[in-house]
Amino acid sequence: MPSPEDALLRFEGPRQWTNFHGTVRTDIAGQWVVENGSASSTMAGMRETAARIQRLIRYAVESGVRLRAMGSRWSFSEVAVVKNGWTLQTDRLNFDFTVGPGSIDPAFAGEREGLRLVQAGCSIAELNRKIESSARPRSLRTSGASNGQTIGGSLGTGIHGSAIDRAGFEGEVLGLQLLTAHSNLWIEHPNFPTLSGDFAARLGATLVRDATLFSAGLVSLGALGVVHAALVQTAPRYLLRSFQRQMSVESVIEAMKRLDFTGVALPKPNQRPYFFQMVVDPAHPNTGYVTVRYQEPCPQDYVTDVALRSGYEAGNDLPGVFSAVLDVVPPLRQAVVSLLLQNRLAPFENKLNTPAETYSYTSSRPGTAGGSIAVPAARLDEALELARQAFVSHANAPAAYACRFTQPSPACLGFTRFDPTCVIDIDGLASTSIIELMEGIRTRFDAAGMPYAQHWGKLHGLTAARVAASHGDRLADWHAARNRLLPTAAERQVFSTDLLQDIGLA
Amino acid sequence: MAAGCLHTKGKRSIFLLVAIISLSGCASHIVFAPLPDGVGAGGQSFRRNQVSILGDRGLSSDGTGYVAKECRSAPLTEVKVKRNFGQTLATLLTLGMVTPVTIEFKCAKASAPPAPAGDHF
Repeated sequence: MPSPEDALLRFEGPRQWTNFHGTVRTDIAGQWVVENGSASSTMAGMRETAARIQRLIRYAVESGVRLRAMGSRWSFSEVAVVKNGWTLQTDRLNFDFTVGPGSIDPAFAGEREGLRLVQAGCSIAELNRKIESSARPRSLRTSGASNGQTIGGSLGTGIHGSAIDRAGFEGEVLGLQLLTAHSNLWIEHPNFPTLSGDFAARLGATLVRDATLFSAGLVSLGALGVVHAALVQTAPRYLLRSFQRQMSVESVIEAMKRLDFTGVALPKPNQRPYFFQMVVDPAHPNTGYVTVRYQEPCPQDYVTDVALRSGYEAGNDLPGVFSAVLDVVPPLRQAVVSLLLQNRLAPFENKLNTPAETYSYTSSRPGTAGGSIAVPAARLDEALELARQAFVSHANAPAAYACRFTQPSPACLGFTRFDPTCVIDIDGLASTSIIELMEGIRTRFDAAGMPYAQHWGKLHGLTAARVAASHGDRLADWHAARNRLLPTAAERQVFSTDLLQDIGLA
Repeated sequence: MAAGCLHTKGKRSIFLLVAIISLSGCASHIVFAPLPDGVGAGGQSFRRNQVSILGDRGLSSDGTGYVAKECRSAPLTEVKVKRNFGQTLATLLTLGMVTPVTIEFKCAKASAPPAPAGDHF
């Protein structure tokens, strides 16, 4: 088969690949960069780009080369890349469409307004800008803390945010277009038919309503094919009134376990929070930096403004500098972390912004490290005690942790699988000690029989045993979906990586 | 013995100083567009090494300046000028007459206009 390279699908030779945060460096055999044929969103353009990607997939199968689609390279972990394989850079694929009533299935039971078909390379930032500034403004109901991920990347590993009554971003997806060497599928859940029967044909796709395939595709780890587009539901544009203050962990721990904040001295005690997060400095474990946001209606004439006002908003290389310094002067580590936390988490009251304005840009931060572990919220106190023991054992690790909350993910391999879930994010400055700290936490969880699951896209200690323990009841469905979508060993190999094979997912 | 300790301590201090300078010698200057999400070379920034000789009225390895053809007609969203230890050293040794830097930049994506409401399909 001749190379599929053309003016809109370029191949760039072997190189060292680096992720956005600089935590992964891998030699790859080359990267493919795909573009749409025009700036205007058209269904013909979608069909053309899908066909182009499928030609590449067939070429990869014939060539026996592994292929990874990627967007913003946001993941901290190596999940996004394959050593000596090809990458397919999709971040220029940013078509998006509103969905008119004629394209919606009569049996659709959701809100018809605000459905958005989005191509995989559209970033959260772009999508936020477009939907919040449209003539009938809308907002995403949840997303991550920053907006740099692409839609395709978000569905690769899952992003969870902390909207306490919502699942992660994949919970907002009602359909997705998945490309393999020989199939172009529009996949929906059979219990929630969304788009009409002839819509898939206009995409050049075959409509499939299958619970197993849909659930697997929502967090696909790049292992099922290439996600080309997703249908995202949105809400009428709203505002978030945000507060940040220090509170004792003791005063909120029971409320966090039940996600019931009745009686807690929060800024608006008579209103249920929309978002709740607590950050803790391990050097001061009894004090939490609590961020709480309340949802409010947004005036129609409100003008969403997501533009940066200062370079500091986008982050800077300061943590990278500290990381370099701290590698030379270990005893300063925790003191610097404490200072950074006090600086970045200073109290504030009544900040009123839309979601797009709230979850904004993050600049590359070389020298940072992040891991996330999901636990049942009801067992948060036990989990935090085990984590506290690990922090004591690794007192020099320059890290802090945050507790964030979601409803269970509808994805087969969504790591936020508990009802409800607390995600313990461990973030800090890259060093051997923080890696050891994270493993110390996981080891204690293993020993104590604490149920947990790890974020696929962050620093992890994934093993086949741990994946089986976290997701064992769903692995059969995962493999069944994979075998149906990729019926030959050669196709499955193209969408495999060493990591996925090592942990029993490929 | 005391002299030997001092000698060792002096060496250690110099080593630490060099280590700090080496590790943190990446001066960088950054300019963002107000909406900084752009694209680069396969997801990473475009990167170009540039050497200025004798300053503004002198020579540059890019002549009168580099035109970012990678962006085609799109604007730049982010420009970083970085200098590593070696580049800094070259600048110092030449008293600023030769200043090599690395420039990283990203370009705005071709913006698909929001699709009209109604039955777009």
